[in-house]
Amino acid sequence: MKPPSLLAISLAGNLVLAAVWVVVRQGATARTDAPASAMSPPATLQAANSSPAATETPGTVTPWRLIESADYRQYIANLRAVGCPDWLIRDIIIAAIDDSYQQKNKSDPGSFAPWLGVDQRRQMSRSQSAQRFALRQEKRALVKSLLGYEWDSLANDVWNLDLLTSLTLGFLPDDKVSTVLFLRDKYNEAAQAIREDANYILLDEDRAHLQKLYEEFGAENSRALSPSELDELQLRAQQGFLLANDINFDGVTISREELRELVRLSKSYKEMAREEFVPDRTLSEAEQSRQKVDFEAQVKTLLGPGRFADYQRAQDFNFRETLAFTRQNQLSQAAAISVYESCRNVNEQAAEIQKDGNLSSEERAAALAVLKAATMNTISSALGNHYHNYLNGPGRWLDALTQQPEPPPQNGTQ
Amino acid sequence: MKPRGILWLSLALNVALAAAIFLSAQKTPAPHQAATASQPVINTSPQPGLATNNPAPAGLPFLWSQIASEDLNTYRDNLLAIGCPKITMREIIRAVINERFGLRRRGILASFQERYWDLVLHRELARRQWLPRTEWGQALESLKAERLQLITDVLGREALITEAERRARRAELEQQRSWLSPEKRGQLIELEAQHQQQLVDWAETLGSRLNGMPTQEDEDRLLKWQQAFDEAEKKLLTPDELAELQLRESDVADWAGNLPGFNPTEDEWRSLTGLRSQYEEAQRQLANPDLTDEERTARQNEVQANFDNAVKEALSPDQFAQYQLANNDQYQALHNVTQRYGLPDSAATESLGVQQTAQAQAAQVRADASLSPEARQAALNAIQQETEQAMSQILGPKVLSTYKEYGGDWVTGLSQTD
Repeated sequence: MKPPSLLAISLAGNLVLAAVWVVVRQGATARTDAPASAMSPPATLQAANSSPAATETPGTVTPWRLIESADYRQYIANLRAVGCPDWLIRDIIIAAIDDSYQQKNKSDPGSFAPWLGVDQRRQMSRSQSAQRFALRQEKRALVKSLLGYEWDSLANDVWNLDLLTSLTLGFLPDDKVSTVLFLRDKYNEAAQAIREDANYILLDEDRAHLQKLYEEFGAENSRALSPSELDELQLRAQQGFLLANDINFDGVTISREELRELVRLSKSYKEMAREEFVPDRTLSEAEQSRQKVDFEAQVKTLLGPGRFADYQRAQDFNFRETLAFTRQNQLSQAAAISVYESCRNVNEQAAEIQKDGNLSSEERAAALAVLKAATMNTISSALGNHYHNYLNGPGRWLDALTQQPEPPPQNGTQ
Repeated sequence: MKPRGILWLSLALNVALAAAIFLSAQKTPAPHQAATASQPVINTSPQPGLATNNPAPAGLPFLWSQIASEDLNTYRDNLLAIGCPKITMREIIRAVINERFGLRRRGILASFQERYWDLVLHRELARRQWLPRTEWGQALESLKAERLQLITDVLGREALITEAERRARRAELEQQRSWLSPEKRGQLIELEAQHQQQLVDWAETLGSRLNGMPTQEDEDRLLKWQQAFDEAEKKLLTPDELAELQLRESDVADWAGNLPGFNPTEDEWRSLTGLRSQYEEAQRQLANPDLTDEERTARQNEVQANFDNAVKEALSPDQFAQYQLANNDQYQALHNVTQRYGLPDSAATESLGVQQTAQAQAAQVRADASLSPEARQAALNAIQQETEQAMSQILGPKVLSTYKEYGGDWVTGLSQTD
C-alpha cells in the first residue's frame, strides 16, 4: 500500500480511536460522579429537602448524599459503614419513616366540611380510621423488619415526657419499656378501632372481640418480659384500682409486699388493664356491694383483724382529716384515733336522741348539749393545747351537734 | 513535513490513543453493587467542608467520628458542612440530646423505683396535675426543661417539634382551608403561624416576669400585632373569602356535627350558622348588667323565640321536624342504638313517642296525692310493663336490652316512686 493510502487509514484510525477514548473517559467520569440510584436521597426526604443544605451547590455531590438512600436498608448499611452508632441510626431511620408515613397519611383529612352531619362524619371517620390503622400496621412491620425489633417514636415520646408512665415503667430496662409501650399502643389502637366501629355501643360480639385482643396483648407481654417483670408490670397497672375505689391507708401499718398483695387480690374484683380493653357492664348496686364484701374479706385475711380495723377506719374521710390534723401538730396517731372514735360514738348517740320521739324539743336540745360538752372534754384531753385549733378546723362538726333536725317532709308531695 | 513523516506521526498517535483507551478502561471503577442492599454503597468523593486531621479511610466519604462532637454546635455545623439536610440534622441533634438526657433521666427514675410502692401507698400517683410537684416529678420536669432549652439553643425554637408533627399540623390546616386556592392557603397559614409565634413570645415574656402581669406596653404591643394580623388577612383575602373563613371557623360552625340524624345541605348549614351567630351575639348582649332579672328573662325568651322561628323558616317542614328531634337528648340515645343495629330512623322516632307518653304518665301517677303508696307503685309497675312491651315490639328484645344499657335505663326507672 502506498504511503498516502496508509496515511489516510491511519488518520481515520486516529479519529476513531480519539472518539472511542472520549467515550470511554466520559463513561468513566459518569460512573464516578453520578450517584447510584440507591444513593439518591430518600423519597421521603426529597420533598422536605427542596432547598439543599447550605454547603451543597448545584452539580456537586456532598458526602451526606453519598450515604443517604431511598432504600432504608441501604441507608442503614451506609450509616453503619461510616460508624454511626446504632441508636442514632435507629432515630435517623425512624424520623425518615415517620415523615414518609405522615405524608402517606395526607389523604386523611382529619377535618370535615362543616355541614356534614354526625352520621356522615362517623361513616367517613370509620374509613379514615381503618386507613390510618392499616398504615400504622404497615409502618410497624417495616420498622421491625429494618431494626429487628419494634419501635414507635410516639410511644418513645410518651416514655420520655409523661411523668406517670416514666415512673411506672422505670423498673424495666429501656428496650423492654419500648416493647411494652409499643404493644400497649398497638393493642389499644386495635381496641379503639373496634369501639369506634361500634360507635361505642358494644354488643356481645364486640366484647368477645375485645376480650380476645386483651388475651393476645397479655400473651405478647408474657413473651417479652420475664415472669417477675410481668408480675410487677401487672401489679403496677392494677394499682389504679386503689384510686378508682378511693382506698386509703392513712394510719394503717402495711408493708410494700402486703400492699402489692392487696393490689393483686383486687384483680379478682376488677382487673384494671382488662377494663381498659373490655369495659364491664355496669353492675347493680347489690352486685357491687357483694363484690366489695368479698374483697374486704380477703383484705381482712391478709391484714389480720387488728389492722383490718385500721384499714376500715382509714376509709372514713373524718378519720383521715383528724389524722392529718394530729400529724400537722405533732400529735400521736393514738390521739387521732381517740378523737375519731369519740366522734363516731357521739354521732351515733346524737342520732338516737334525734330519733327519740318521746323527747320534747327542749329535752332533745338539753340531751344534745350534755353530749356535746362530754365530747368536748374527751377531745380536749386527747388534743391538749391544739383543741381550739381542732374546733376551728376538722372539729366544726361539733357545732352541728346541738342543731335541731329539719322537720320531716309531708307525705305525697314529692 | 514529508508524507512519510506525517504517516509515522499518525501511527504513533494511533498507538498512543489505543494505550489511552486501554488505561482509561482499566481505571474505570467497577459499577456499584447497589442492588445488594446489605453492603454499604459509598464512594470516595471529596469531603467538602469537613475539617479534620483524622481523614476517612479509603472507600468512605467520611467517618461519623469526624462529625460527632461533644460540642453540639460543632456537631450541628459538621453535619451541615457535609451536606446533611437541615431537617435530618435537626433529627440527629435532637436524638443526641435525648440520648444524653436519657442517661440522666434513667438515674432519676432508678432512684425512685425503690420507693414506687410507698408512693402508691401515700397516693402520690393519684392526681396527675400534682405529679410535677412531687420530688421525683420536679427532678424529671427540671431535666425536661433543661433538655428543651438545649434544643432551643442549638437548633432554634422551631426544632421543639419534629418535622412530622409540623407537617401533620400544616396538613390539617391545609385540609380545613381546602376551599381556598393553594397559594392563598399557604400564605394564610404562614401569616397565622407568624401571629401565633408573636402570641407565644408575648406569653413567654409575661411568664418570665415575677408577677406575670401585662403592662400597658404589653397590651399595646398585643393590640398592634392583632391589628397588623387583621390588616394582612384582609389584604390577602377578598371580602367574600374573609366572610367564608369567619363563617367556617366561627365558634358556632360545628353544630351539625353534634346532631345525630340531621344531615343539612350546605345551604341549610349556611343559613343556620348565620342564625346561630346572631343568636350568640344576642345572648352576649343579655349579659348587660343594666338589665333587671325580669327584663333579662323576657329578652331571653324573645331571643329564643326569634331564633326558633327563623330556623323553622329556613328549613323545610320535614327537615325542621328532624332538626328538632336531633336536638332532643332522648332521641339521640335512641338513634345511636337503632343506628348500631341498622334499624330505620322511624324506630327511634316511634320509640321516642312511647318514652314521652310513658314518662308523662309516670309523672302524673307520682304527683297524684290521692293514691296510696301501694296503688301508686302498682300503677307505676303497670306503666313500666306496658312500656317495656311497646318498646320491645318496636325495637325487638335484643335492641331494647342494648338500649337499656346505653341511655335507656329510664325504662326500668319508670316503676320508681320518686
